[in-house]
Amino acid sequence: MSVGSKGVRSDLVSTPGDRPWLVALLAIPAAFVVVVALVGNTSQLYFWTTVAETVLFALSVNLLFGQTGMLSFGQAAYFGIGAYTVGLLASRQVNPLAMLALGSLTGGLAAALIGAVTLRTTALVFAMLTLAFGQALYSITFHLQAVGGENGIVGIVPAGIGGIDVGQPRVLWVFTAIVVSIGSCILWMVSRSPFGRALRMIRDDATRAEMLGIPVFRYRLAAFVLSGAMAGLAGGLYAFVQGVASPDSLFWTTSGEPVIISLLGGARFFYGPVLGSVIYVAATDTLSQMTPAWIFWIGLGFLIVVLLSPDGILGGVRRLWLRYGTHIPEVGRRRTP
Amino acid sequence: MTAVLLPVVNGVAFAMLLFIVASGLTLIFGVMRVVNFAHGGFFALGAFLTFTLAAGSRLPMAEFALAAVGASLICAALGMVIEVVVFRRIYHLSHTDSLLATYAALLILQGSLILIWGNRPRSQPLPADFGHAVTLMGVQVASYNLLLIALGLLVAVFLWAVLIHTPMGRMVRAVASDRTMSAALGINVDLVFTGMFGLGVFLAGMGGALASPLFQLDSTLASTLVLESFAVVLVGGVGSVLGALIAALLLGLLNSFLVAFDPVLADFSLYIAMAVVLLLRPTGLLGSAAMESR
Repeated sequence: MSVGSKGVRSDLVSTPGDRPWLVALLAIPAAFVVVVALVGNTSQLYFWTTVAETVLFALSVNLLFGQTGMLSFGQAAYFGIGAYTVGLLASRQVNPLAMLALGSLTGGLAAALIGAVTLRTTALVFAMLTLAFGQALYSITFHLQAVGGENGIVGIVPAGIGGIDVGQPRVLWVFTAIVVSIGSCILWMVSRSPFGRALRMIRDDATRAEMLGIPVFRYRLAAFVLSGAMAGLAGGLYAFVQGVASPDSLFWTTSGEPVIISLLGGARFFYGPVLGSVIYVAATDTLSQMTPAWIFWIGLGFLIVVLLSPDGILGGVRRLWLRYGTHIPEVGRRRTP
Repeated sequence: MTAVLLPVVNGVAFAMLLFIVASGLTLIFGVMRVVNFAHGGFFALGAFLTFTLAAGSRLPMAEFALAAVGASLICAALGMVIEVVVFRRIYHLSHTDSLLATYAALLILQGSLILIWGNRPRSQPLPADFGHAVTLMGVQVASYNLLLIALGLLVAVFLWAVLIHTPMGRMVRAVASDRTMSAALGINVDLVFTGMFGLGVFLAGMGGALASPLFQLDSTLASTLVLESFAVVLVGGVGSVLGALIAALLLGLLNSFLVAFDPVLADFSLYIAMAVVLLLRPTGLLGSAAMESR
């Protein structure tokens, strides 16, 4: 990371490198998956499986929102397309991994078509257009009896792989964790690649990026397609975890959730949506048991974050670190002889 | 004749309801430059307040009107408080950031509906004098639809008269076109913002009050009609009341003719129409370049 006043503004997205805590960052989740798989009860397994599937959806949206600076209010469309693809194939005993790959492919294809049209506009028109296309798809699935109409497709169970029952909660958790890890790793590598750096440059100043020779439209489209494909993958997992693919998963408010999650954790940080997902799923889980008006508290929390700490929890922590943590390196220096 | 007149009357009635809600939305965007997702929340609040003030019973028209006006005024007062407390802090943000703040406000309003009225769906009967059909050129049309048309036109004329032909309207238009210069000329910009937000929210509440006998009242009301009024605002051109009127008529008629054939097409066409207009003319039919900035 560069130093000086500019260094304060640049993000953590690009910082992890040859640091020892990177190993911990990879080892801890792996250990966590094993521990939950071994000792978790059914409701804990369900909770963490939901968190994992939400993490992938939020990371896919944040590739657009946090990293490329594009607010789409229609990512539920690709999420839903993935869920419906899996739902329609569920009765045919196809390998679950193949089903997820297909869900991801259809999500990416739809994103390519819609992105090619919507990305030619300004930020606000883009947000509204993605919303319009998403709602158009929602209204089709809502009325189309071939895909179950208002009720959607119910009773989705993943087929077994080599005699292992993937639908069993413990297996489903490991399966989901592996798929989400692969998806997240792809997104993480993309964000660290020169392409990912170019996306953040587009976010910070699209005109300057264009002047420096970055093909802004093509890069934005590529990000949009990758985001749609990952949302489709997350939607496929959702269909396995919840057992349904319903029109609700395409409704515009579903598109709002990953945006809330990213902002809550910190949209400018790669791990922001991960932290956000854990907090969001836990909060909705707890609040919805306490009050039917849980959405009130979610909205209030979201508003407070937007107004007080627009860079989310990680941003708040980072600011505290920069303000009060500067003496820590000095302590370290004194210790070394 | 029958086959044409009935969808026309129903379409124009729906269009006027959309126009009343959307005109509030377009005013708020035109003056404050904020995409107000919370508008849907005020719409739903207006409907629920009417239900409570009317005690959910079939009332004579005069009493229903009183309940509707009361509900709209409560919405407007609440809107002005929220403008001062919350919205004033988001005007300087980019469009997308302020959009997220208003989305948060929508969730809060939607949650408040559940806190106050619970999860059970409610219904409000039509006012007593408007529950029947009247014969118009040989066709039976709902008299409440005729009332909606009359009120929509009244709102259109009122807004036109106030915005174009009063000193207050000139002040509002001055602030909308250049708030810094207006402030330098001695206009109290904050007051204009609060007032216009109140007027916009009043129209949302009024739309909700008029819609209360037509819809099942539950908290999802906050997130449904708001999208259709977004479509009207964007198609008409952000900030243009006349554009909103034209767009509402176009989309309302399109909707009512398509509903007769195929409900899938009716819902679908609204969003496709919105997408097509935005792609061909990002500023909408009568819009200025407001959407292009920032």
